[in-house]
Amino acid sequence: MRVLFVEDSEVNRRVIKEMLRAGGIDMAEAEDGKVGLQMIEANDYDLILMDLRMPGMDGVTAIRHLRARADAKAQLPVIVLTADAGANIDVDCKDAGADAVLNKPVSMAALYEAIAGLMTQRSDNAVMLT
Amino acid sequence: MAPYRLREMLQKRLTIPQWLAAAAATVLVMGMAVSARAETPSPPVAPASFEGRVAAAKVAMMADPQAAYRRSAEALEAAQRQTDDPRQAEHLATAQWLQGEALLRLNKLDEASLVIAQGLATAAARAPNSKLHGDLMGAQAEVQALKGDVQSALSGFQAAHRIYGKAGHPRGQAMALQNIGSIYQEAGDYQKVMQYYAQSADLYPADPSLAISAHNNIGRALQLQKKYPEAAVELGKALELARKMQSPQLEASILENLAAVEVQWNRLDQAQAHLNAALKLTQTDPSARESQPWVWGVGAQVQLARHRPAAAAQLLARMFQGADLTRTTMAYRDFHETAFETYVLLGDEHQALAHLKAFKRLDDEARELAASTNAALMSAQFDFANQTSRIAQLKAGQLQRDVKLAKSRNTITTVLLIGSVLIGTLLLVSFLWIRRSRNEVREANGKLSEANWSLEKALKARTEFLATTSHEIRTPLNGILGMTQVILAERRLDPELREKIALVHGAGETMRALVDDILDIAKIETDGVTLNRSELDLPRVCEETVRLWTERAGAKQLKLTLDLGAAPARIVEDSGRLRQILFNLMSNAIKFTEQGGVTLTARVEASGEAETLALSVADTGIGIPTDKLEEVFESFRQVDSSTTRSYEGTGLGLAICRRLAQAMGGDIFLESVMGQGSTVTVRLPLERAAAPAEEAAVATAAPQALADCRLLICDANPLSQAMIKAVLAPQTRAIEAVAACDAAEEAAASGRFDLVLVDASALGGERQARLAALRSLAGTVAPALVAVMIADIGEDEAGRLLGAGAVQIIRKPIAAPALAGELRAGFDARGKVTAAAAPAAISLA
Repeated sequence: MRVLFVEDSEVNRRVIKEMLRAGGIDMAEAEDGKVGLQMIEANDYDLILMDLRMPGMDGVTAIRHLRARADAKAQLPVIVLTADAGANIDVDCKDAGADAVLNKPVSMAALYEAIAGLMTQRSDNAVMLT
Repeated sequence: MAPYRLREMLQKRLTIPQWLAAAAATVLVMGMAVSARAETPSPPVAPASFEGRVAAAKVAMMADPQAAYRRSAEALEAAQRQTDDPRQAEHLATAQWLQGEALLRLNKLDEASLVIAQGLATAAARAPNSKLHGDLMGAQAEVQALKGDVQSALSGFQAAHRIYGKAGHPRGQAMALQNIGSIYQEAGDYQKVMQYYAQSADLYPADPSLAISAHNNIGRALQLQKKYPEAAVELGKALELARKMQSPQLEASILENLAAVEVQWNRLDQAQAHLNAALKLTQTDPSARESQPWVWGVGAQVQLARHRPAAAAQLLARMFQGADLTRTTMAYRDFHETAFETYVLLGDEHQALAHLKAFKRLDDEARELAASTNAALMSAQFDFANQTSRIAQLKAGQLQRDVKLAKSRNTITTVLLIGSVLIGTLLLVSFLWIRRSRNEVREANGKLSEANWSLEKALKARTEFLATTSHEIRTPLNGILGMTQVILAERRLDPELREKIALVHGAGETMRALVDDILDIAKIETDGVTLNRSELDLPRVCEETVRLWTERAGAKQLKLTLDLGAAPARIVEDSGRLRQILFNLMSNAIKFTEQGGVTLTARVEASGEAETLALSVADTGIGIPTDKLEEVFESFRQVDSSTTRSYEGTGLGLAICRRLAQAMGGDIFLESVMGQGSTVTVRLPLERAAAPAEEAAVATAAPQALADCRLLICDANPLSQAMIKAVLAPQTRAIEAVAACDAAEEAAASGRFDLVLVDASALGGERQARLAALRSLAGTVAPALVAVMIADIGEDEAGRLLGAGAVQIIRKPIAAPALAGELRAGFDARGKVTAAAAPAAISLA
């Protein structure tokens, strides 16, 4: 499974990378929305993790751009990781097209729960336990 | 204060215009009662007769308007039957008048209007310029005043005054004058107020209730003009009369008014003496009880004047107990101001702000009312002046017909000129007067707004600071907690190193909890609490919360007890917040207890129809001294700041719990004995939920199907673990996941599970041994099953695993959604085997 994490803080990227590695997942990194979209264009990923507050292009805008694509990549599952809490944030993200919103600090359990939830919902037969 | 209170006493809930006419109504009704007593005993009347019903209606009017209405309706019927009585029309009108008065007191203004109009028409036609006519005119004016139509009310009362004059009924005239006086009271025109009330007293001194009302209102007007000695004199006269009338109700009210004047006059000892007398009356005489809150209020003013804000706060708390500060009536206005000043001195910003808001609301109301009343009065006077000029105009017009045209035109023009000058002067005078009073009020308002604004700003700034800081702290915390989690998830970790990392992680978790608490209370203080209520299983929530603390309690060797005997099974509440409260209470209890134990009890308390849910956490800890019991609920306070180092925490827990409990409609109560322990009880309104349809008794036999199973998953790979949980959760009764075999053994031993699904990777090198151990542990409480998921396994190995205790082997790779099917197949296969037979070896392709 390949995941892209779009986040400006190096520390946070590192943490999530390690968390995903524990589950055998490879993670690629991008420091803002624009770079993230470029990487999605160039590569294939199974899941996008998106931070919200980034210099340059922010998370919500990036998600909107992603969803506006004309190809299959527009349907990529997206999980937002954000330090801001609140019902408004939730609604804004979901409106833009995010599939789930997690609050930082993210626990491993919460991260995996969200990933598992999305994966099992979306592609019924493709998910294999190996 | 005085006029409001006097009337409010007799009518429970008054809105602004209501008290105005209630004034007249009160005086009228008291007059009825007085005259009923004073009249020479008439020949006994049959209760069913017209006279009897009328008398009954009058008597009931003050205390029970509903009954009065019924009596007057009966009187109307009786009058309707008097077809050959020459005075039938008048009797009808009388009955209608009484009906109108009753409806007015029941606040049914439109109906009152209707019936009074009918009566008035009859009276004007059949008995013009009689007392009855005057009564009906007055009643109509009262209704108009209650509806806010000041102009019509004013002219109505003036008309009533004239009619009573012609009827030779000075008492009625006096009442009409008092009614006009109270209109001017709303407008704030003190001179006119005193003028009209004095006139009324002069006109008819014989009626003590009229006289009391006059002295009271004149006193109030003097008070507002800051003429305290004169005000006190007037109120003294009112007091004397009340005593003569032997009305403790009136006496208490006047005493309290007098005390209020004396406070402003700075005669605090006298004020206190009068208050004590009033208090005594309210305690001994049930009819005087209504005055109690005001007595406390003025008492608070005395304490404040003596620089004792704490004592003032106590009295204010009594006065405002149970009151909704967003809905208090005008009579509370000045006391909101007192409360504001008191709480500012005590540093209780929230109370201060709440009262300030209430004061502003009422003050605005009063200003608006004054403005509109003045406008109406101005129009009335304008109309009056206009009419005068019009009359003059008409007269001049007559002359015009007789005399030369030019000369007449001149006269008209002159008259018109005079008229317009008159009007102009009146307008100018009124305008100047209104502007002056408006300026005064605006200035005071300006100061209020400033204070209001500074207070709100300060509160916001503090909360914002806290929220921002905490938010910033969360980011590096993410790094700490994230990495320590990752390290701890490593299977191959040196045990010593693991212990150290676990310490770091624990400290990080504590920090996160503190930050969450700070942000939580900041949010609660600015936005309030939004509750998310749903049905929940209360015993389960309690169990789960207690379970979170078993390890910590065990480490301190404290006994944890759960008492759910009297607990309701299913309730409707915000489960998240409920857990938060229980968690916090348990945390405190365990934190401050060194030996003994902690008990969580859930029970129902019933009082009448309402049921209360009482959740108590009792500990055998260090206790809290009685004088600190209130303090512990304040944010950031612990009993003893020296203990802060040894008992970690920001001291926010209880503050948050109280806010939450209050937001949920309840409150928190604390009892404690130093050195013995404390009990914290949360009381919430209980809303029971219907018991769910299914939920049969827990099967003691092993479940026969996957759907009835309580499943434990053991998988070291977090992704697989999460995926299995995700696909199986909807297919099973309950599900939990652990990452390592040790944890699986512990969980299995608790007897909470029917089936353990373990991934071979978690079994490590010694698969069979571990499997056997797991199997035996899982089977200790109830027969449990262990299934193994494994990749690349040969038949021999599979057989050995089955022999070691596995009931099913599931080969990988397998599609996640297919897993449920596989497990179900296993159940089916086992179901076909009798108990005596050995477990079948199941091989899967």
